[in-house]
Amino acid sequence: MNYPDPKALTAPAAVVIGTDQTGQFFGQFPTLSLDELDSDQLPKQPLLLVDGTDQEFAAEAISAIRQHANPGVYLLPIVLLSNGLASGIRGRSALSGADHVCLSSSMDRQAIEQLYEQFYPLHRWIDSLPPQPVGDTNLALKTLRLLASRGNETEPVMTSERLQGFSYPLIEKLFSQADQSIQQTLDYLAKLNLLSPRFVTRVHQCIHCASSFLNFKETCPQCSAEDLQVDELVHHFRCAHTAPLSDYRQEGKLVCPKCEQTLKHIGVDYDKPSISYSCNSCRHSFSDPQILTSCFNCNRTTAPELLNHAAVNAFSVSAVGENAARHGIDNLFSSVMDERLQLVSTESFSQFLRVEQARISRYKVSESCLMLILIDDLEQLYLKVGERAPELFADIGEIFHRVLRLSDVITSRNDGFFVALLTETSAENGARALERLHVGIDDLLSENLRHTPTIRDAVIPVTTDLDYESELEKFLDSDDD
Amino acid sequence: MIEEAFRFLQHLQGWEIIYYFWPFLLIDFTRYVILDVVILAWYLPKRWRDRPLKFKARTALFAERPLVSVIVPGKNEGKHLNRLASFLTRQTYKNLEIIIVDDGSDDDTPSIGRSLESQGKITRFIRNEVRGGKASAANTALHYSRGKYIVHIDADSHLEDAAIETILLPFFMDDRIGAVGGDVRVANTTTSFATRLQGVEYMKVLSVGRTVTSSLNILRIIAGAHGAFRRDVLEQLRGWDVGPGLDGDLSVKIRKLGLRIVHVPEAACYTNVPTSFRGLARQRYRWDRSMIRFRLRKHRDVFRFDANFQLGNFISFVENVLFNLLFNIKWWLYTAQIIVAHDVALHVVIVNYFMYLVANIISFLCACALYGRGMTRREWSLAIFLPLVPLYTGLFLRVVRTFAQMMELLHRASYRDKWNPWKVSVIAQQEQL
Repeated sequence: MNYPDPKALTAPAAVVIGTDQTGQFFGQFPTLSLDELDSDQLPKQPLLLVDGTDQEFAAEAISAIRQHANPGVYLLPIVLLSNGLASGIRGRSALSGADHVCLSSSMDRQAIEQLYEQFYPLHRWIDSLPPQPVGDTNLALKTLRLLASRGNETEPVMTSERLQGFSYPLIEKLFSQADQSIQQTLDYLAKLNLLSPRFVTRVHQCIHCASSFLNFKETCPQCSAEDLQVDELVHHFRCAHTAPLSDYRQEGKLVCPKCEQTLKHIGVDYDKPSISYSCNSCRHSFSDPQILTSCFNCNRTTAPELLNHAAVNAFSVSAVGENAARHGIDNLFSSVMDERLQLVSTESFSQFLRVEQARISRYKVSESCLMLILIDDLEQLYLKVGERAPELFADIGEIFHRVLRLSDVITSRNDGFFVALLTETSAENGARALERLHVGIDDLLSENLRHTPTIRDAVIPVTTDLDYESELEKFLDSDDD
Repeated sequence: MIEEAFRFLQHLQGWEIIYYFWPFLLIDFTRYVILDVVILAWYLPKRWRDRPLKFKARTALFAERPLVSVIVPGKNEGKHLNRLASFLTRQTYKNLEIIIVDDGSDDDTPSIGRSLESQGKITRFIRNEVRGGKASAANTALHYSRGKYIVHIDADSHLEDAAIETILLPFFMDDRIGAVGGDVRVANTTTSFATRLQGVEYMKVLSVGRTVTSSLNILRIIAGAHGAFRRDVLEQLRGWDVGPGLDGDLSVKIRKLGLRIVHVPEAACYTNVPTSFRGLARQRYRWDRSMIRFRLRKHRDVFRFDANFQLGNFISFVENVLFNLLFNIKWWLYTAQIIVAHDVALHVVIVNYFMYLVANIISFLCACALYGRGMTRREWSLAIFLPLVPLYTGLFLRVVRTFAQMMELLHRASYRDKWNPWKVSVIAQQEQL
């Protein structure tokens, strides 16, 4: 599908995502409800106008668009139609994720044309993506594509809505939950050198829950009580008497209790060299209170030196990342699996399959089957084990290696989606092999990580009339059921 | 020439010997040799006899086990703090709280102090962002301390393992004692020629001299490098006053309360002394001025025969002023006398040298007797420097002392000393403190 040149635009190139009432105000544009986002019409629309009258609805609509699997949808430019009253947390929430904000009243055909022209490079970028049968389910790839399609650096923005205290508005709607996924995904992409980080600032985070909302408290070093009395220590030059300010107070004046002289001017006859604390709980007096932090989120108390002092970076897509955004991430799992199983390319696999179909057709004695296996939550696994992911993925690769034979051919269609051609194997035996594979992975993850993996699989007999691509589509569509 | 000098001495009649050598025979030998020997002859057997009393005091100390606050005020002393903390952890008396006050240091003292505090090697580290002077820092430490006794030490002091236990014993032997001075000895005797001579001087003057004046109840100073005080006494006096010379000032104030101050030679503390004669001259210039400032000015009321008159304080001050100020002047008269008698001047100088050498040897032996088994090999080795000590004390220290006293008498130079922050010095000068 190609977007028309702006100059060749003939019809209103936009669709409004709105509520039942929206149509009254934007009658000139087709209107879709949230339920209709999955319709086939959507990818063909150059601009998505989101009705911002109801900010909650707008935020929900932008999330639904960005979380769509089809790059033709989630990459589309979103224009938020505002009534000018967007304010507060909800207003900010609705704004984040939108590419542009317009006043509803100024929205007419001419404005649409201008916007279309403005976003035309983005449309061309979407057009340049290679056709793919399967939508993007990989959040890392979606993030990379969203950033690469916009071309700009994504900068952290301070926010009280995210536990980490910072968010990346453009990409945050890709994620369904306001947890650490955004940061971990960006870090993951940076680790693969697909994004280039630029240091912006640092933030103290709770070591237990990564919250940046911390209360720094001065406490008694002896009993950790917070009820402290703070007094300045006063040094009287004349007699060197040094005591808390309260000791000097006498009928509205400062009088030295040692030499009974009235203190006149700070810096001239006295100064305040330090601060004196006394604990109202245990009466301990001290000059350096113990600083502790308590987390607003998990309520745990931590010493400041133990806090996670995390760097907050802006991210831009690297040259390698630009390429990966167009052609797919050479993902970590597949690359680890490749080392162990010698994956073949999708083209080669199709070729092998065609040869096998021809062989079966000719000799009519062999039985072969395709084994399809999709591990849905690889990202969750990555987030869970972080840097140890390659080791885990290697262990999964080992399970594949044990189940498959040297004569079997395996390819990776997407990160976590593998198709194997089991030669001279009946569908029944294929199902047994698949069972062993399934159990092996299940045991590995549930026993070591207490993680129950979401694995979908299927065994398809290889026949002469097998339509490989449509079988794959059928398999992938089945997850939506 | 030496032979001629001694022949000259042989031919002198009794009154002629007095005429030519009166400073030595009438003053220095009498005061610093005869008196010291006599007092030590009394003191050393008494120390032996008092062992049961000390045993009783030690038993009482460990039975009561009072909290003792060791306070260490100072500026830019970070480099000494680790060593200090390890010495203090080795003390035989354990119920200590160690409080270090950083008086506005501009080096890495704060980080070192805080690190020691977090490691639990010291009880408390207090950082005064604004420098206030040593007295203010000591008073800050006093404010935060909780001990029944306060031990004031310098950061570069190295206490013997039993030093704190020993310095506390007098408080359990006599409740009229308000403060106890430890025996300050030289730690860096082997560093330079200047430190070796100071090593001998400290043995003679600080160890023997203070033991003698303490026995006579005319001790006038508890050294800041190692001194113990009763907390109630310090609170009554509200701590230290503005220095320099704050140690001597506080000692006099304690005496004025009618309390005794004593010196304990067994409570040994080793301190680093200036390594060059230039640094030594600067230190003594400061010390010698404080005698004028505090004895003749601030505490001149000691000389008044009024209701507050105390004979012990009077004698202590008279002894101090006489031997350190007036008899210092006598040297210049004596020098003039020798110049006048120019034909025998050289003989007189040579004989004087030998007489003072003998006096120094006797004083050194007194110190050896006082130290007893505590005498280290390093201290024994200082004996070979004794021939140079008459020149060191008779010439170098005398010139510095005379200059310091003149500057203080005529120009009140101590008020401009950089030892205090300038704001404090201005107030001290304005108020003639």
